[in-house]
Order: sequence, then C-alpha cells, then structure tokens
Amino acid sequence: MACFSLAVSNFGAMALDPLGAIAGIGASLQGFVTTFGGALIGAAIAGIFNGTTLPLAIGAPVPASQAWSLCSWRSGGDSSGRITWRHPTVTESWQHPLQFSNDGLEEISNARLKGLVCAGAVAAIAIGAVLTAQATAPMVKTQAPGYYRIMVGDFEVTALLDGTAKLPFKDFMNDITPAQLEHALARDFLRIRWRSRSTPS
Amino acid sequence: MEVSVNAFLINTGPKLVLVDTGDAADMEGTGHLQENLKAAGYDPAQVDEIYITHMHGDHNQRTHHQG
Repeated sequence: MACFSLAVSNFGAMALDPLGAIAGIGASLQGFVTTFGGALIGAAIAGIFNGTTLPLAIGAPVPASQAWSLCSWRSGGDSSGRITWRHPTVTESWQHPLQFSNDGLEEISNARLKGLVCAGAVAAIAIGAVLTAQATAPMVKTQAPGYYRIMVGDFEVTALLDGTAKLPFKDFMNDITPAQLEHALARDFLRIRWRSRSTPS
Repeated sequence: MEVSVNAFLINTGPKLVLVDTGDAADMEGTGHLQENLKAAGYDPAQVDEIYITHMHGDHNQRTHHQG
C-alpha cells in the first residue's frame, strides 16, 4: 500500500505539473476521474465476487497493466520510457518551482521507474489478496458432536447429548397464566411455540 | 422451553455400559445419541449393558436400536 500511495501521489503531481494556472480545476477533475473510474472498476470486480478474495487478486493487476500501457503510450512509445512534457500555452508564463534548466524539466521523469513502482504496488496487493484467500476456510454447516468426557475414579464416563426437546413451558409453571408467561418471556425477547406433550419427564 | 436429553456411556474397563438411550426418534431436535456416541470414539456394538434409569419416553425410547 505504501508503494501504491507513492505511485498515486507521484502520478497526480505529474499530471498537474503542466497545469500551474488552473491546477485547482485539474485537481478536482483528477479527483472526479479517479473516484468515478475507481467506482466503475470496483463495481466490475464486485460483479465477479465469488466469496473469496481471488477476484481482487485478479482485479488488481488487470487495470494496473492497462495503466502501464497508458504510461507507455503517453511516453510516445519511446523505448527509453522517458516522458517528454509538453506545456500547454495557458501555462507558458508559469515557472515550475523546481525548474533549474529547460532540459532538466523537459525530461524530468522516467515512466519506466514509475511503472516499476506501480507494478510493485500491484504485486503487494495481489500477494496480500492471495494470502487472505488461502486463510478463508469454507463453513462446515453441520452441528458439532455433543459429548463430554470425565474420569470418575477408574471409570471413564462420557456424557452423550441426544439433542434438545421442546417441552410445553406453560404446563410446568404454577400460579401463572399462559398469557402472563408469554408476556414475561416476550419481555426478554423470548417466544414460545406451544406444543402439547402427554408424558413430560 | 428446550431441555437437553442426555445419556451416559461408562467404560468400567471390563464392560461398556450405556445409561439411558435417548428420546423417541419422532421428537423434534433429539435422536442424535448414536452419532454422538460414534463421534465420542465408540461403536454402538461395543456396548455390553444398558441401564435404564426410569421408564419415561425420553430415557428409553431408542433402546431397541442398540446392539
């Protein structure tokens, strides 16, 4: 995530670099595109969610490789990977605060380096997602066996659960009407299903 | 009101004794004695003697199913 933050902030700064005079508009547009685009990509990944984190592991490298392609395309297919900055006319009068020479600014950035940072972030996310996926255990969905064992002298005693029987509560209670009982139980968020049973234990 | 229905398996060494045999199979929520006996590491066929504490349905209904 640290690599990811590094890549995002650097790309953001690079994108705003030629927009000095209208950097506020540029930043808001950038925020809109990243949030809206992120929501769309996130929705696509959520669409293939299958209960594991595998879609995330797949979903991270795919947009990242597309971003890599965009970086390469933006750098004009130059095999050196260098981005050449073209300042639009609106910012012609703006002086870059870090500008020390024209050449230094013209070829300030190495897209390949940025790509490596990007790939590192993606790899970290993918590895994390796969590790999490391996930690996900399927649910058993059946009841656990019910027994308890204890030694009594030399005897080994195992208490075995046969289950639980629903008995008619109202038949066991004295000096209370079924309505009062129901009210008292409802107060504790309990409800009875009345059942008759001829031979309580 | 849910009440637990239990039985006890006692291994004395020479003999394996089952005390009570569980509720009737038609009672909702009960009838799991055999599977829990197996889960506890024994087989129903290993039981040598069965003691019934008293003749109520939830203590002896499954007796005829035992070995």
